[in-house]
Amino acid sequence: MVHALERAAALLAPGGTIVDLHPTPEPAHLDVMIGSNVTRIADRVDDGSPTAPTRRHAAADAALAACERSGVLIVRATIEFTFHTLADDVDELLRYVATKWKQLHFAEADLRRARERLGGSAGATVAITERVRATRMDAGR
Amino acid sequence: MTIRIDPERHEPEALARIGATFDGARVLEIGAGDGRLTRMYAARARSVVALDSDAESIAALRAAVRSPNVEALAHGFDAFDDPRRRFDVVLFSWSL
Repeated sequence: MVHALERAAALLAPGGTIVDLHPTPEPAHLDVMIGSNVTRIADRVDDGSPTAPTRRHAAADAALAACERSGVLIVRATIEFTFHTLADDVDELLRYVATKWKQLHFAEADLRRARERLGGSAGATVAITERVRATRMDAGR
Repeated sequence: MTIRIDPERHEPEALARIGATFDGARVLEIGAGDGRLTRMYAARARSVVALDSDAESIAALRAAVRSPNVEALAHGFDAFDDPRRRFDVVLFSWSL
């Protein structure tokens, strides 16, 4: 990751900038939302294994910090925000995850709870909620 | 219904708040996927090189972003080797 950032810095035109978006190491979680009422179904939707997305996101943070320490990059602005992926039912969400997001893991009990909570409520959605960090950087030395 | 991704549009709002601007820029997007982010800024950019190692995703991007200023390449950043090119913005699109 450090190498990728170094290469990116070398590709910048004078005055150019690097923008990074990646989730924070905080695990993505599963919620059911009915109007403004949010019910947390699962605190994490990965298995915590060494290949889990949270490990990769922590490594990305470390790479950015290393590049800042070494002077390769200068961080100009950063912000965190909440990012939702919403579906009307659990099966629709699972189909999406199966194609796009292969390292997530859902416990059967959590899926059952989500289905029960969704019930037939009008406007109810099931959501994967992530915290994401956006960072703008300039090339340093 | 379909999957809704960032329906509150927090992501473009965050990019604006950190001062990321794509207007008139030569952009290299790394990990462009199916072009979810590319669609947001491509029309304002001068040129875009969108990279993703997943060929299916790049095919989806080409179908979704039909703009002559967008060059979509089905390979990863490691394989991108064009020493003549320089960019105003290099965007790591959830790809670090």
